Amino acid sequence: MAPSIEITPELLAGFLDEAPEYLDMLDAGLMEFEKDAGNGTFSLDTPELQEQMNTMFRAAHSLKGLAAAFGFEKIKELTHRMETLFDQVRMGKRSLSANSFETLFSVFDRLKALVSELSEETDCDVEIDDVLKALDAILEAPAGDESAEPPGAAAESSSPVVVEASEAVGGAVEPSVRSVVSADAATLSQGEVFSDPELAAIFVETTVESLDEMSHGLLKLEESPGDAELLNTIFRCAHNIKGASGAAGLTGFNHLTHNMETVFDLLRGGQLTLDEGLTTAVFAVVDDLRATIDCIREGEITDIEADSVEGRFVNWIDADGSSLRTDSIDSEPGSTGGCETGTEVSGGTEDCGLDLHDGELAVKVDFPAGCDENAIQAFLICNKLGEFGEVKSTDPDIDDLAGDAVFDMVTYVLVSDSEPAELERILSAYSVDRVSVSTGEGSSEVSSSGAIAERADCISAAPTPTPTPTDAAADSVAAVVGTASPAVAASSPPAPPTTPTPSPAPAPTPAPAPRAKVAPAPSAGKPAKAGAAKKSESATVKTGETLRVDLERLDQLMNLGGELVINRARFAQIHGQFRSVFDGRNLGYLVEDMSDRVSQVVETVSSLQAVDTENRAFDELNGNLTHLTASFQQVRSLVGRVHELRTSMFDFDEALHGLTRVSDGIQKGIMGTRMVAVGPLFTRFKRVVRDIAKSSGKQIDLVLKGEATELDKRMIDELGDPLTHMVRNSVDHGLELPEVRVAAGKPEVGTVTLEALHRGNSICIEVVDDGAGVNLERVRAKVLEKEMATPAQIDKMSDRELTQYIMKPGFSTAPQVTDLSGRGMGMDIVLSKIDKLNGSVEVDSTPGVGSKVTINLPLTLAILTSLVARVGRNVYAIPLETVAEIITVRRSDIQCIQRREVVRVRDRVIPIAVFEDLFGTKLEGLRTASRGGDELTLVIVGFESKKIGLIVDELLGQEDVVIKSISENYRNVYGIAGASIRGDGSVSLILDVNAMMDMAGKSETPPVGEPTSQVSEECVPA
Amino acid sequence: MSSATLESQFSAEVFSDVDGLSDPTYQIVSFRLANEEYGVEIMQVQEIILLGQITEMPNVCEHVRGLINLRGHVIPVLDLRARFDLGVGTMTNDSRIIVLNLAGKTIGVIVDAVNEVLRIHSEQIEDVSGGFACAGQSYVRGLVKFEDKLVVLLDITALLREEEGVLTE
Repeated sequence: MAPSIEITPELLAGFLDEAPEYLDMLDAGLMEFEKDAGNGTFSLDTPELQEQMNTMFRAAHSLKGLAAAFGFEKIKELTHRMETLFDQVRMGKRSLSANSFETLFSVFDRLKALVSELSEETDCDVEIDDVLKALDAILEAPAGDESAEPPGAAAESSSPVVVEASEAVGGAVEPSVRSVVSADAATLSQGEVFSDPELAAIFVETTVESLDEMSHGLLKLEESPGDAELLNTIFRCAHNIKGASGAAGLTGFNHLTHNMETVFDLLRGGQLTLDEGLTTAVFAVVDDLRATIDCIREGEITDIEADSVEGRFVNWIDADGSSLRTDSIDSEPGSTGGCETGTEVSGGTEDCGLDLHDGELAVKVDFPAGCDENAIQAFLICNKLGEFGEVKSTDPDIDDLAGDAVFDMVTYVLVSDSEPAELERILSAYSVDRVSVSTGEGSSEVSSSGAIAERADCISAAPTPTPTPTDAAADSVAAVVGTASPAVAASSPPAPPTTPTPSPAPAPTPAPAPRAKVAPAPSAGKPAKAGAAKKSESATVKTGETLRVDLERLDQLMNLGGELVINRARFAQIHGQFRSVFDGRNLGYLVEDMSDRVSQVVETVSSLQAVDTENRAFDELNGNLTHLTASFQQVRSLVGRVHELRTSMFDFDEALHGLTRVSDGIQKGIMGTRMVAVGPLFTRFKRVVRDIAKSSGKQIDLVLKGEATELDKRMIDELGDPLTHMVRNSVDHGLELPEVRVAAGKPEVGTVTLEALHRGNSICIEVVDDGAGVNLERVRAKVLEKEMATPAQIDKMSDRELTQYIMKPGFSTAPQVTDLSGRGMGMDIVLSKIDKLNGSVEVDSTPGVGSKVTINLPLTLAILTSLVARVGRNVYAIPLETVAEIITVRRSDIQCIQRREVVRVRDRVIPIAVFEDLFGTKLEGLRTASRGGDELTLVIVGFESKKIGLIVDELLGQEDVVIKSISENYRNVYGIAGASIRGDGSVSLILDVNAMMDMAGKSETPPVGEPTSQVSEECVPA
Repeated sequence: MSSATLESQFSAEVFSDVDGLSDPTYQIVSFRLANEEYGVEIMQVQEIILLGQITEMPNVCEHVRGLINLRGHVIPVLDLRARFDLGVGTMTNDSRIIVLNLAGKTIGVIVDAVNEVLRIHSEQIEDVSGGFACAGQSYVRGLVKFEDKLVVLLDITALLREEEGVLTE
C-alpha cells in the first residue's frame, strides 16, 4: 500500500517542518485534557473541550497521513491508534482515565523520539511495541457506558457505514451525463476553522503550492500519460492538500481532495486510465479548490459544500467496483421515488450546532427556493413531527412564517425517541430539498429530489474503494456516508451541515434557478467562484500570505542591513566634514572685498601713471593688475559655484535623512521578520512541570505570563535548554512537598511563574517559584567544602552574593543526585548559554518565600545598543544594558581599600577597574591620558549584586552597533563579546562586562581562593 | 619525509579542487619577513591588502596584532615576524597584509613585503631535515630553491592549528 515515495531531503525537511506542529498540538491538548480531568476520568463536557478534541483528532490524523505518505510505519501505527482513540472519545463512546493519559503521554513521547530520530538521520530503533500494546489495550477495553448519546446515533457511529446510491433507479440515464456539481461553498464560522489566522495563512500557502504542482503535473501527464513519477507527484499533492484541509477542519474540502487522491491512487495502480474526461474533471475540481482557497485568503472562511463533493468523481471511482461499499442503511428509495438516503456521521461539533439535550433531535429541513408553498409545508411538517414527539421550538419561529415569508430552511427541535433515519424517511415524502436530523452526536441527511432521471450515476464517491489501509481507517472514523446529489439538489440552496447555529432563514446563499442539466465539467469551476464563499460577517480573519525563508538568508539580510547602517554613519561623517568646509567663513564676501581692493589699486595706479607718464614700471604694474583682475573674475565665479554647492548641502542633508529613515526601516523590518513570540517555547514547560509533578508527588501550578513577548528566533532556539534547567531547578529544588508547604502555612499547590517582559532595550525572562528558596546554610557549607572561598570571605558576603554561587559549575546543594537534577551543572549551563547570547543571569532568593531567576537578554543577537567610549587609542562598545551610570569623579575621591581602588557613589563602594590593568599592558593604545589627570570619567557597569567602575577617556555616545563575531574568523576572546565596525570603517570591540568583572576581581592580586578568580580561570579558553 | 611523498601530498592538496590532476607545477606567493623569504601556496591567498588600522585585542597572544575590517568582515591579523621570533620590525611602505583563506576562516598575516609569484616544480621543494631554526616545525612544508634564493614554504593551516582554538570548529 504505502505510497512509499522516494524520500528526498527536501521532502523530509517538509515532513520535519510539519510534524512538530502536530506534535505540539497533541501535547498541548493532552495537557489541557489531563488538567481538566483532574484525577477522575475525562469526558467532553464543554464545547471548548470538544473543539480541542477535534483539533487533536485532526492533528493525529494529519500526522498519520504524513507518515503514511512517507512510509514511516511506526509513526503511522501510533498515530492511527491515537486517532481511533480520539475519535471514540469525541464521539462520546469512551472516556479517558488517568491511566489512558499516561499511555497517551508515552505514545506522544515515542512519537517525538521517532520524529527527532528522523531529523538526526539515525536509524529507526525506537521501539514502539510496548506502547502500541498499551494503546490497543485501551482501545479493546469495553467502551465506557457513560456516554449519553441517543441509541440511534450510537448505532450509526459505531461502525463505519457507507451508503452507495442506489443503482436500482434511473437506469435510463445516459452515461455521458456526469454529475459534476458546482462546488457551492458553505459559510463556516470562524471559531470552528482557523481560529488562528496564522494557521489559515499556512494552509493557504501550502495548499496553493500543492495545487500549483498538481496542475503542472496534470498538464505534463497529458503529454506523457502513465508517467509513474508524475502520478506519484500528483498523488502526493492531493494527499498533502487532504491532510492540510483535514487539519484545518474543512470537511468538504478534505472530502473532495480525498476523492481526488483516490482517483490518483487508482491511476497509479493502473485500475484507471486517464482519459480526457477525467482530466477535465480533475481540473474542474482543482479550479474549485482554488476558488475556495482564494476566498480563504481574502479572509472569508469557507468550505466546499459537502453535498457538492459527492458527485465529482463518480464515474471513475465507481469504475473500480468499489470494494468498500457496504450495505446501505435501511433507506429504500423513498416514497417520492427519487430520494436517496444517506447518513452522515461525522464530528459531533460539526452537526450539533444546537445545544441539544438528551432525547432532543434537531430536524433541519431545506425548502426549494422561491416556492410559495414553503410556509404551508413547514406547518405540515411541524404537525407531522408532533406525532413523534413534542416540537419544542423552531427556527425561524413557526408562528412567524406567514404565507409570503421567504425562507430556505427551518430547524425543528423535537423531543422524541424516534430513529432519525425513520424521521427522515417520513419527512422526505414532503416536497422538500433536504432533510437532516441530528442528535448532537451525528446526523443523518436526506436529499430528495424530483429529478430522478439524473440520479442513476450519482454514486457516492465518498469512501474510496482502494485507499491505503490507513486511509480507510481514517475514513471509518468519520465514515462519511455518501449522498449522491442529483444535480438539482446541488443547485438548491445549500444547508451547510457545518453551520454552528442553524442560521435563520433565509440563508445568505442566493438560490440559483434550478438547473435542469448538470453543469458541464469545464465550467464547473465558475459557479464555484461565483457562488462560493459567502462572506460570513464574523469571519474576518485576514490571512496575510506567508513565506518560509531560510534563516541563513535572513541572517545575510540582517548583515547587509547592518552594513547599510554603517555606511549611513559614514555618510553622516562625510557630511559633517563638508559642512565644516562651507561653514564659518564667508568666502563670497572675502572675494568681493578683495576684488574691490584690486580695482581700487587699479584706479590708484592709473591716476599715478597719469602724473608720471614716463615711468615704465607702471606699464608692468598695469599688466599684472589686469591679470589679477581677470583671475579674480574666475575666483568669483568659482565662489559662486561654491555658494550653489552650499545650498545643495541642504539637499545632502535631506538625502541623508532619507537614507537614515530607510536604513533604519530596513533594519527594523528585517529584525521584525526574525521576531517570534515566546509563547510556544513557554508552553513546552507545561509538560516538563507536569512530569516532575507526577514523579515527585508535588502539586505545581505553572503560570505563564507575557507569552506574546517577541524574541529573535535564534534566541528562542537557544533558550529552550537553559529554561528547562531553570524550571526544573525551581520545581525540583525550590518547591516543597505538599505537606511541608501546608506546615509552612503556604498553599498546598506550589506556583511556578514563567514570565517574559520587555525592559528597556532588553528582554527579561523570569522563573519565579514560591518554594523554599536557596538554602544559604547549605550553600555556605558547600562553598567551604569545595574551598571556593575562605570562611572569612564568606562572612563578608551578603546573602545575595552567596546566592550567586549556585551558578558555579559543579555546585549543587541537593543532598542527593536525582534523575532530574542535583549534579550541579544546571545553573552553570544556564549561565554559559545565556552568556553566549550576550545576556546575564541573576538569582534572587528569600529563604522560605521563594526564589527568582532572571535572564536578561538583548532584543536581538545582531544589534546591540551600546555606549561607545574611547580608552587611549581604542574605542570600545559597552552594552548599554549593563551600564548603570556614568559619573565624573575627582582623583582625590578615589580611596584604597585592601589595595583596591574604590570610589564611593551614593554610599555604595564601587571598585575601579582600569583597562590597562584588565587587558594587560601589552596594548599600548590603552595608556590612558586620564590616568594622570584630576578628573576621571567612570562608567559604572554591572548588576545589582556587583558593580565596577571603568575608567574611560572620552564618551563618544550611544550607538546601535552591529555585532560581528570574532570567532567567525578567529576564536572567542575572553573579555570581548564581539566586534563592530564603526562609521569610519575602524573596528571597535564590544566588551563582555561579565568577564570584565571577573577579571577585575582577578587583577587586584586577590587573596588565594577568591571566588571570582576561580571562575575566570574556568572560563578562559584554554 | 621524502620529497616524493611531499610532492604527491602537496600537489594533491593544491590542485585537488582545480582540475583533479596532479600537475607537478604550482604557484607560491613569496614574501619577506626580516631578511628571510617565505612562501605560501597561491590557492590559500585570497588577496593582498595595504596595512590599515588594526584594533588591538586583549587576552590574545603577542603575535595576534588585532582585528581589521575587510569590507565588512572582521578578520584577525597575525604578525608573522613576531610569530617566528624575527625581532620587532617597523611598518614600512612595503608592509602588506596577506589575506588567507584557510579551513573556512579568513585570516590576515602581516609581512614586510610581498615579492612575487613563483612557478615551481615539485622537485624544487626540498625536505627540511635540520640545520634551520624552523626545522622540525610542522608549519614548514619545505624549502624551495628558486634560482639563487631559498624560500621557506609555509603550511599556514598547520600554523593556525597551533593557534589555540582557531581551527577547532
